[in-house]
Amino acid sequence: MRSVLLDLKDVTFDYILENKQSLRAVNDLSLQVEEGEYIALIGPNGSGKSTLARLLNALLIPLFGEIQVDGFATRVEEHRWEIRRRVGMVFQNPDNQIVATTVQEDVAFGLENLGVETSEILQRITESLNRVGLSAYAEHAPHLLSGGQKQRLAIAGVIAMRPRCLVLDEPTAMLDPRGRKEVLDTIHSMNRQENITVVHITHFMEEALQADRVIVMHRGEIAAMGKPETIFNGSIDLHLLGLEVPPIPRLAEMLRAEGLTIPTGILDTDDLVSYLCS
Amino acid sequence: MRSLTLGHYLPGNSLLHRMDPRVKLVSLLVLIIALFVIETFLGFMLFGSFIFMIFLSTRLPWRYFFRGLRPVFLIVLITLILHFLFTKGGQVYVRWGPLTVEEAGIYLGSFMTLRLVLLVTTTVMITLTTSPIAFADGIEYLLRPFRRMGVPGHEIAMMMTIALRFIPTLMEEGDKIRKAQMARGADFETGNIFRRARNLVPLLVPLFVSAFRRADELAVAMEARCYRGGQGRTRLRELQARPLDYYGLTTVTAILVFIILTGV
Amino acid sequence: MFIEVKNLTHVYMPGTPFQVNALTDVSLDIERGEFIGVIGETGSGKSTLVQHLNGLLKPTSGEIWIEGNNLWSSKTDLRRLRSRIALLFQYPEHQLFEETVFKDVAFGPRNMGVEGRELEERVRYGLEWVELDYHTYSQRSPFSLSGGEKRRVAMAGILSMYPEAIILDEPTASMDPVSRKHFLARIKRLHQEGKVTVIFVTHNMEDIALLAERLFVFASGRLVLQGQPAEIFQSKETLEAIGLGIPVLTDLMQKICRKGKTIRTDIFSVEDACREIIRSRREGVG
Repeated sequence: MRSVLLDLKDVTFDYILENKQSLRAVNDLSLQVEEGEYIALIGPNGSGKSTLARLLNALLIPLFGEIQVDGFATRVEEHRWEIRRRVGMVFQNPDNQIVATTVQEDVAFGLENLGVETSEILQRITESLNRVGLSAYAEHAPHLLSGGQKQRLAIAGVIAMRPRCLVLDEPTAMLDPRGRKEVLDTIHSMNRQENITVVHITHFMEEALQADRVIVMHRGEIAAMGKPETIFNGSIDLHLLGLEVPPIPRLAEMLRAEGLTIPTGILDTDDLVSYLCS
Repeated sequence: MRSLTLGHYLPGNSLLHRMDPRVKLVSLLVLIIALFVIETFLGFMLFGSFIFMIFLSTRLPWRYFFRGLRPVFLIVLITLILHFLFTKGGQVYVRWGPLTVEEAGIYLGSFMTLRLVLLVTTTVMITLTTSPIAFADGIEYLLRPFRRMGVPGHEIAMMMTIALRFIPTLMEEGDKIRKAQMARGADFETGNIFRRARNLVPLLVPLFVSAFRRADELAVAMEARCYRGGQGRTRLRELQARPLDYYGLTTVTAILVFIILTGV
Repeated sequence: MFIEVKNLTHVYMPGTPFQVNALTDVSLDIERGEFIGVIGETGSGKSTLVQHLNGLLKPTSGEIWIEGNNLWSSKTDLRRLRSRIALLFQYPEHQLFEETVFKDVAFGPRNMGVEGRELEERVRYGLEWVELDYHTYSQRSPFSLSGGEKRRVAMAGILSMYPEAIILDEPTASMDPVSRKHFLARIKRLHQEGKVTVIFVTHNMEDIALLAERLFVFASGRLVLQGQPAEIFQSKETLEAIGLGIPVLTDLMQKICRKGKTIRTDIFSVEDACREIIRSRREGVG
């Protein structure tokens, strides 16, 4: 039995708008995430995904309800730094999360904030840049990196703090296919090799197919949750929730409706090919 | 954007490059004081040859040096002309209608010009050999004693770093917005100065909006990475003064003392 | 011929250490009314190319001809040209600057000297295409809108110039799946009903496969492939080597084909794929 890392109980969050009205972003949401899990969080714009991400590392504090990270409650102010070093965030826009003027200084930023010794900082920079494959760029200026490299730098800056969990808010949205692949490979290897828990918010349904668990958000609530095979097997009307079923599961579903014998839960091209050609 | 080269950093590995930024900042201050204490041309000669020797040791190309001087050229020229024409006294050398150029004018004009040129040269030399980041570190350290008086040394340094980080990004963005508006028929190139200024609105408004959006996002990202101001922070590059730095500091202090004592 | 590009080469910052050869000897033609896809990864030169088509960039060497006229000859009115061949940049919502949606959408036509009644008509036309109600939106501040609405206003600001051709530079980046679908449907309608030539720059193969009649593929500043989508996607290896891929369904059909089934591979929609698989099965049995 794995231990629970993120524990959300009846969490509600409102934004206060300019005209003093409040806008409910997350509504009475409960969720437990286990250590080492890979969660994909999907949902249309405005469904509360990003708000949820910010709640997880105490950038936002719930209006009602309670969030615990590794036993620390986000509501308690003294816990915030403990929480933020455990839950690392990566955001959508690669440019707007790089602080320093060289790659290695940017990786150092979080460690400097934590008050880590200089010798230790140097060691962790080397280690983190190795993990994301940017060792050759330590002295480079960040604005000269490609989009994929910038996002990997952001990941390096976060993992240098040795977090237990990575929360990524649409980290591939602004990247081209090569950049996307680089970043996805990095995230997956963090999850598999370092057992870092991943909460990955995405608009790309294909990316959600590779998760341990998919959570579909709609109007601040969890509309559906389960393994990718069940979420995308046609039993849930994703279109109604403002999403699309990826082509392969959709095709499998359609063929099944035409009377072909295809098992449910097919997500992968090669699997479908082998059923069709057997 | 080109005029920003005043103090543009040129990487290198000379003695001056390798000196501690704090020492360089303090030395610069001492040298500037020295310049204002100097009273004779001989003093300027000695000071000038000292700066010249240091400059040779940095192996910087001359053109960067002159480029650094260019922005202040006009000021130097005006100083010179004003003194020539309006400082009176001593022998009259030139008489041209009501205008005269007299001995005191030439003396004081040349004196002031030399002082200005040496002042700028010394500053440019330091900025050419010190990376802006090192500068920020140095300023942060030197302002530390004034923290209790409310001088936000760390914040100033952090602002400098972030500004340096985002200048290229915002320049790129500005170029993109300019093109996007040109694609809608905007005209940035013709018309008189007022018209041109007004035509910049479609460029500047989106650029400011974007800069604010970036600032917002960056602030959140920094907070997420445990940033909480300067307290309890360590540094990747702790500043460390080495023997070289002490020699340097001793030398410039000696120069100042020498000037004061001998009255050159 | 509508647009002709002849031996176009573009070098950024020539003669400096930062010199980049963004485009090398590119030649291509675009006919009026076509739907063109320009694909390639970031830095492949595709954005540089399209900025030449409306005179935002000047060729280092080579020529651009629009309807038989050399674009960089002295008699071309560049501002007029830019209203005819409109360009919508990536994240177009970042170009909004006016106090009201009306004024922002009117910016383009006003620069062309359009005023009064006609101006209003054009603003209505633009907003109509992007399905924003004129009464509800025209007097609102563009900065009070949602991200998706801003993007539509920016699009309206292009359409109000009544362009003959519209260049879209990665317009669907960061859109959620449903907004993306609506956006693509709108572009398709613009092409079919509005008779507008569309030049669609993207690295998203799924988007472009369903829309484009012809593709130009760029890598490292060179035009490496051109042709109909179905032809282009036969070269899976080439595309993957330059950081691109092929649509999931095309990949599926090609894999089935390779297993010895007789099946069409020029398939880009789930419905077509389903029909073709069923057909191939029946024939296989019969």
